Amino acid sequence: MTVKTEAPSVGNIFAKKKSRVGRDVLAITPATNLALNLLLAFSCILTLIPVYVIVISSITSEASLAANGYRLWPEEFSGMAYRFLFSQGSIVMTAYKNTVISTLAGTVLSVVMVGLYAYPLSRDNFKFGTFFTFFAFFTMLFNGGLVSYYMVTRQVLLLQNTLWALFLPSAFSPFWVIVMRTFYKMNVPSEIIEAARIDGAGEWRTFLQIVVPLSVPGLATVALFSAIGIWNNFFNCLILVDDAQYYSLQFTIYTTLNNIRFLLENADKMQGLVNVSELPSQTFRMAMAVVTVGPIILAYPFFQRFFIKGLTIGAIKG
Amino acid sequence: MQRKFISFFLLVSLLVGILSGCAAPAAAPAGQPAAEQSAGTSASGEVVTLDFYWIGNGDTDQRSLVEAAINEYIEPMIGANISFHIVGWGDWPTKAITALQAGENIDLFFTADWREYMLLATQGLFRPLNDFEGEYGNLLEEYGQDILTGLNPAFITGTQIDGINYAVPTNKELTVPEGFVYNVAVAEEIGFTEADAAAITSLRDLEPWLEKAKAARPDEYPYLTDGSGGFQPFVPGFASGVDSSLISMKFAPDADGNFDETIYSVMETDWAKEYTQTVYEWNQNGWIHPDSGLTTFNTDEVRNSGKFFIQSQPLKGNNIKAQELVNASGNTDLRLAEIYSQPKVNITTHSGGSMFAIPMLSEHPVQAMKYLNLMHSDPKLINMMLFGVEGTHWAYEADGRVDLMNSAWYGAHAGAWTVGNTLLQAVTNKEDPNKNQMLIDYANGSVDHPSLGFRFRTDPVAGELTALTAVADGVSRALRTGYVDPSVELPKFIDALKGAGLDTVKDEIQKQYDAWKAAKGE
Repeated sequence: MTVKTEAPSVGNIFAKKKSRVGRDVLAITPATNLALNLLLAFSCILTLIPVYVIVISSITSEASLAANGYRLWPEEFSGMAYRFLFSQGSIVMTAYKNTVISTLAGTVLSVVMVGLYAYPLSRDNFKFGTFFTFFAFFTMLFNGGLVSYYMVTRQVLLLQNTLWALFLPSAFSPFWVIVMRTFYKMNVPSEIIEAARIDGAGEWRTFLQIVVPLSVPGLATVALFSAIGIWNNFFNCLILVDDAQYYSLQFTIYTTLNNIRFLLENADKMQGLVNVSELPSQTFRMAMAVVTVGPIILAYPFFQRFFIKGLTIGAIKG
Repeated sequence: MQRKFISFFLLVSLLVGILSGCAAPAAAPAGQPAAEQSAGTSASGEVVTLDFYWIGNGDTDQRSLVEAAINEYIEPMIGANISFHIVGWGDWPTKAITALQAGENIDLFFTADWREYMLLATQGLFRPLNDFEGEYGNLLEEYGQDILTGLNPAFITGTQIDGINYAVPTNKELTVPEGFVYNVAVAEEIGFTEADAAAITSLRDLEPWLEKAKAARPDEYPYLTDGSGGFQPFVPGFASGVDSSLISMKFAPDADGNFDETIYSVMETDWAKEYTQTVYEWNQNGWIHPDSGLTTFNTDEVRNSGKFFIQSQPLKGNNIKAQELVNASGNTDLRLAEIYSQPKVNITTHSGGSMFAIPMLSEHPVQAMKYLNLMHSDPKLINMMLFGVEGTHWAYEADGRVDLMNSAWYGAHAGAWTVGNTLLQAVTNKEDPNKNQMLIDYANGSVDHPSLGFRFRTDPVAGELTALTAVADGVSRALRTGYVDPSVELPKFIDALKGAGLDTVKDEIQKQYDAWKAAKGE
């Protein structure tokens, strides 16, 4: 199916001037249009400037950053921070690899688990639906706290210092189960499932060939958000990993910033035992932020493909 | 259908936004340590592994090399191997303390007065080390003789809780008076000589110089401050867990050498009025950076760039602090000198600035104590712990100083002040060869403050302390950096502190201090 879009209003400002007669009665006046566009452009710039400053200060030389502070156009450029970041022995490269692997594995695992758990719950003829919905939902409201989480993951599941630690604890999410259950209910009418059953399809065939293709937008949403969730997760690494070999990217940046914050706030209590300037420099931190954003920003356009593919015109007539 | 998807997508995005906004950070761990006795028991003759929890910047991939070298060396000596766990400064509570409370295998645990020593010790998580009735006898006397002979006795008494040591302090600088470092480049521009520096005895004495410094460099802020230090007359870290700029005791003895042991509310004194008024005027004059009132203001970065005249700092004698700051700045043009504003007095917070405890649940307390003893007596082990593997990470130079070839390990852990006995450490080729001896010698001629060794138990007034922290948060720093007008804000602040229970806390400190004093006198 094709996507029919109105020409964006930005282009209309000039087009409308030529033929005032044919103007849509509902269209806003060019002046308002211009004002609104300026307003929106202004807010766009406001949100983009911080990102721009991070990128530009990551390629500023340390000395000019210290001397002049943040600037839109630095006095002196330098690739030192990136050279240091990707140098031999820097834990950033290891962390990058760990994060990419665990994001890929975790996203697949998460979609499979959530998709499979939510599907039966969406079916009216599943007897224990209420119980299993509550079973998942309950953990959203109440949890055992940090110490029990710690003991279960480390002492029962033995997850400490493995790559599994980075994604397994957050692979299943009750929130997405509830969302997917609703999505199945909304988008997979029970009549279709009935029809499949009459045609002789078993449960697995129904699920894989009928339900999944109809639910691609929902599953893609789950995939997108779990990919971002796992990419951005530092907590699992914080609790479960103390070997630099398994550090995740977000944890490396989190721990650096957290160290600096702690040392700044407790400088008077620590009586000058540690000097904050021994920690990674400003430009280095900025470069870390830039590489952290990197690939995950591509996840949005990538998943968009699936959103359009999975759409369907209603299968039920009448 | 497409519209349906878009609305669904938007709804979900919205929900996610709301939920992530609501999600509070993980609640503080609660509950009792659970005994998890699973790892192999140490029969005699068997080699055990000691898990060593160390604060610092974070783990490094060089750790396994260092561990292998250390293990090879110590295994024949104490029948133990070591496994380091380096946890970030800020991650310490979530990571290390959770591990301790969850009963993880930990044999040696970093602690300090600024890092929950009192709390964890009173919760029973640390083993008493010089308790004759203990399960393993008096560990410190039996296996830690070198620790006892190497340390200044003030360290041992200063880190006790009710006469018992729950951790072994590092032998490092004991006497850390407050003072200032000043930028020599600016001093030369304005003609501020060493004689002028020696004549500074109060904040007001600095005024003519700050004025000149501002005139010489109009776009800089000469007085660099985060609100602490300088000419503070009170004991820093007096009652652990209570901000010493609120309640404390006089730091310096009078002319006859007698200490005034009154516990008082600092903000209500004339000193506080004068001090806040002074910094307020300075802020108005543009002598203090307008961002100084914010906790995110990084004074170190300003100092490293050399764009200041003078800053308060805790000092260590012989210009060592100034040299350390210059080395750490990475700015080769920076030159700093020191001004001292306090006499040499030993206080609790400096004796307990860096310690190692043996957790109650450790299965190998004897080997752990033997390891600590080595950390206080064996230069070879100490230098491996500090710099890494000789030949791989560092090498000796002709004069006995250390040339660091790979600083990954050196930069991962907390640093020299956590490694046993600093007197036995080598120094890097950027430092004075006699630095460590000078640090220890600086304590000669110092006097012990009467409150040395006093530690406050916060639990009877935990509610009041939370309220006080909430009141002081932001306001206290704003006042001490001259961000707000003290003639309006100081009385308001005092009222708010009193409303939050300042006097209750003060009475509790007094009560515990009297009890501690009486017990000590026995």
